[in-house]
Amino acid sequence: MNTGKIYRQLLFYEVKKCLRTPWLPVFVVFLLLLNGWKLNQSYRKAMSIREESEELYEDFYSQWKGTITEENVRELMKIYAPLKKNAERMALSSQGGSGTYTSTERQDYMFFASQFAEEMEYDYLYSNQAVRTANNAYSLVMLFRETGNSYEVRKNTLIYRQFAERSIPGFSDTKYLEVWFQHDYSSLLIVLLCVFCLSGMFVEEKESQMFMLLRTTPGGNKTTYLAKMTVCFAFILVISFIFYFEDICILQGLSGHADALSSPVYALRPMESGAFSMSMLSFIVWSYGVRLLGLMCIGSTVLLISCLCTRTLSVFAISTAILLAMSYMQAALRQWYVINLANPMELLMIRRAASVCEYVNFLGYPMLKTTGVIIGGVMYLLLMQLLVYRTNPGHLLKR
Amino acid sequence: MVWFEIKKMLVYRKSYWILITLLIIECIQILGFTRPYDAVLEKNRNIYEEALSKVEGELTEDKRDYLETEMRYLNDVHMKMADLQMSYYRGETEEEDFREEFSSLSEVDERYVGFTKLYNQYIFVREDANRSFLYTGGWEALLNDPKVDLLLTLALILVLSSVFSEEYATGMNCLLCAQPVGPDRTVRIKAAISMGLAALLCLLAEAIRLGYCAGAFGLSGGEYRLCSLVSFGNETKELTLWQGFFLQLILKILGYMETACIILFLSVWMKKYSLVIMTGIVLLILPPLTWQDPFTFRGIPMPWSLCAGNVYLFGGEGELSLLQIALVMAEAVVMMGLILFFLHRKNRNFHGSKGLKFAACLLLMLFATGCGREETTVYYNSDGASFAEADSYMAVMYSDTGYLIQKDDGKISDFPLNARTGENVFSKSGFFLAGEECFYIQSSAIYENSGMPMVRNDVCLMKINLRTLQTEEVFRWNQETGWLFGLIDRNAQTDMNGMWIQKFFIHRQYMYFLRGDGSGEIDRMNLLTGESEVFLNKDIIRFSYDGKSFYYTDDFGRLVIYDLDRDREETLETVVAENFTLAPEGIYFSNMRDGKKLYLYSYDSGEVSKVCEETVFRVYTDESNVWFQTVSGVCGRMNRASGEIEFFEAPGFILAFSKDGDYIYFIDEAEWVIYAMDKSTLEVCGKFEVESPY
Repeated sequence: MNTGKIYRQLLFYEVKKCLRTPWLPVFVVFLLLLNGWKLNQSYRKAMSIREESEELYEDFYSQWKGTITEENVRELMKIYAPLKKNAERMALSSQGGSGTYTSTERQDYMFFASQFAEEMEYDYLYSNQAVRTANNAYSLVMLFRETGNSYEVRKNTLIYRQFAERSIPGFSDTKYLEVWFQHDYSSLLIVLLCVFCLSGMFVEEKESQMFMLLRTTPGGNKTTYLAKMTVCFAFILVISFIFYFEDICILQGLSGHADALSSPVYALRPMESGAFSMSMLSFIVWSYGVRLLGLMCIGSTVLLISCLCTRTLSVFAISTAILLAMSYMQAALRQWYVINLANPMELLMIRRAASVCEYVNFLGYPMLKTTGVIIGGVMYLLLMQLLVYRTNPGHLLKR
Repeated sequence: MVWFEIKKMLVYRKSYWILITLLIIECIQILGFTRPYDAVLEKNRNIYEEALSKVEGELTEDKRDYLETEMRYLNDVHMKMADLQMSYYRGETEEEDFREEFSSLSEVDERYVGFTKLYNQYIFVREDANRSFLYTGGWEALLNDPKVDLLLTLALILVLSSVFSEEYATGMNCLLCAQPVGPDRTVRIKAAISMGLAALLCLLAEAIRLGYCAGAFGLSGGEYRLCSLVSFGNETKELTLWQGFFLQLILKILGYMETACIILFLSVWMKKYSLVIMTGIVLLILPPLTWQDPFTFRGIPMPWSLCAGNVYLFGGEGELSLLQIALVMAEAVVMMGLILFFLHRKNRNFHGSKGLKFAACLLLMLFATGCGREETTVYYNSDGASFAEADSYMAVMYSDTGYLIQKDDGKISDFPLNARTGENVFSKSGFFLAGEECFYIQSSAIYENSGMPMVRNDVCLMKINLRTLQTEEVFRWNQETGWLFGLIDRNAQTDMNGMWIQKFFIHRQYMYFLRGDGSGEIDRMNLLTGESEVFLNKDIIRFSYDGKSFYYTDDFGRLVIYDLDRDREETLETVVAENFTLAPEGIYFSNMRDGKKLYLYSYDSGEVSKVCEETVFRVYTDESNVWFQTVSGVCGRMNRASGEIEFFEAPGFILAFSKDGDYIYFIDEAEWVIYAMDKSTLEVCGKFEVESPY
């Protein structure tokens, strides 16, 4: 029989069996709305100062965005410097009056400081900071060479190369990307969907005793396994694409600016010490790729439990317990990073590892923690796939 | 039939495991994680209760007078003690007199903290005539936590989802409709058992909580008004404490019964077990988890707020009156009635499935274990903790800036040895040197956002080998506040994040440190688990450690040696010191009985001998000399063999003293220059400019 044809037929059948229910789209839509609402709330909370003076912000932003010129700085300081001086003397007025841009002088200070001055200062001075870091790294290379500590020499050489030529070309609105950076809710919802939709993938065969029949069919072993895996990974891919795409679309829509996407990723304040120099857009895509790997690992874990258990209830309970344990380990055991190197939750929270320039000693060579986490994730996924293949109900009996 | 349904639900489906697990976790949560509302009050409870017994109940004029008079008296005693200590250290009071008067004042002062708690309660009670004095710790612990028990909700979802959905899955619903016993009776029995189970579990959980609070804290004064508790101070429903407790209990039971009804409804409507569980979790667990504020759903007759019954007891904005609460309860009952009617109309029966074996699951757990540090002979003095020296390098901390000095050529590098030092990585702590390994605390500032940024400090206990300069992380304080994808906000223990530790040492797997809040308290933290506890609650400014014992001075200035392994202390009556320094040959100290002149206590003989006539501030020793710096900044060295003292001009304050090396390092704060002075010639032979930390 044509294995390819059986595979394609099984693919469609698996999709219909597991995913084609009238309730799944309703749930997905409900969860998308929940995610959108939460994201909207987070955005409004982060932009509370700007929201009260949206038009004012847009006016000044259109004037000052892009390369930070002397003229822009002069204009900003003309407004901001007196406010800052009053703030340092604790003499800002909370009374409304004429001559203010927003409602009060205090509000003016908060507005210009948080939306423009601090950000522009950071963008402008970042290159100096990076040069100092590179110089420090260079000095440390010299110091460690004297002590013969080759690992530290290699590590600081890498740091030197990473920081040597960093600079932020201009001022852009990165605040909405900070909201995106901290937003993990969509990952939680995808994990929930994975648990509920994938739990029955193998265990239902056992509950309904169908696995005995599967073993007797020509496409019952490898082909069925491949079809199920394809459906699972395709499901994870589609769902994560929908949720993550929603995140970006909502934030882009709320912000209305796209200039920051071409800025380097260290223009985001939380990433100032990170090891990456790619653009924001590249980082977003990279981050989603890593999260997808994490979701595949979680999906594989659920499938493995589905292979081992005989009741759907057990699969739910054990999957939830294991995922909670993983989440706990990821948050609580931060000092024992070796454990977290093979923890899929670390992949979902890859921003934590990406925002610091930390290395692990791998046979005397420095390896970025992020790289370690990704390699750990890949190995975890391969291990889970091997175990699923060996333990899936269609595999157990020899022909 | 009732018994059969119970058996099917709990026994055949093995759901009793879920319930047993739930009860165990509830017990662990309640017994292990219920913290007292006011830890300081609990520590001073006997004093507090002794005073409370005189004022319990409503506030009267007599009680008011008593409280204000007593508080004034205790404040006076507290200030007298501080004045007495100052007078003793200035030499205006003899030691015997000081000890006698101090002891008698201490006895009275012991009541200060406990009574202050009662006085604070008085300030609260006097604002409202309906408030009364009572011990509030137990009631606060019992009523103050407005949270839905999500574990109980999850357990109900897992147990009850299959009640009707299994029949649809197996197709038995049609067959069961043909049986002689009416299907509607079956539906009624199922619904009754489900709601009864929910109510029972809720009652059990509350009973455990009530029992624990009654046993651990005490629940006296239940007849007083609910507004006597600080958390409910502005409530206006005029309930007593017991009434409040029973009201929230009834609301909780109603809430969980409604939860059971909703699950049964979903079970009939969706017909598929997995969908019921998914919907149940999304509908019943996700909203309270997402909306962190439990008061959001107060007016809605849904389990999201009813299951956190004590939400309705709080006052303030949005408070519901008793009538409004009754209305919410009535709405919930109507909803339950509608659901039961729907179930009755759908008329489904349950067909039990065969019992299945419980499959073994694969669990992979990794645990990292650590071993205790091998003890070496160390002489740690908290006063000299600002530098640590090994053969080739010396690490120095001055005014929150760290330096690494290469002893052979005097080259200076920034410390910690991190490329980001000076940007967002820094160390403010002293050092603890054990052999070649030097421990210090490193902080990295992490900016959560831009523009008026929120800064979080990632704090680690680091270890550097001063020979190879290899650094290693020993412990990291967990400042992670957002757990479970940011839904659970765990309050980071910012008072214990390590950033404020300046003086510490490590003994076995514990780190002992002086709290940076000026309390003089020594705490101890387990480096494996991160758990910390108070080790010594005395007013300690300086301490020392010799690898085995902890040295400090008591209230009378006597040196106390505390054996950390045997948990025993020994007080040296002959050593009454303001400052002291451990050295291999003995303890150098400034003798308060002799004008703070320099003395030496010998370990071997236990004898005390005068070293020199100078009043010293700091003492350092090497093989040939005893070096010191007086209070006025003058430096001197005394030859051990001849006893000859030589004073010399110091170019600044002593920054670091190289015990085995050739140099002493001074810092001139006016110019921010470090000078290296040759110990043998007493001549400045090196000068290094450093960046001012300001």
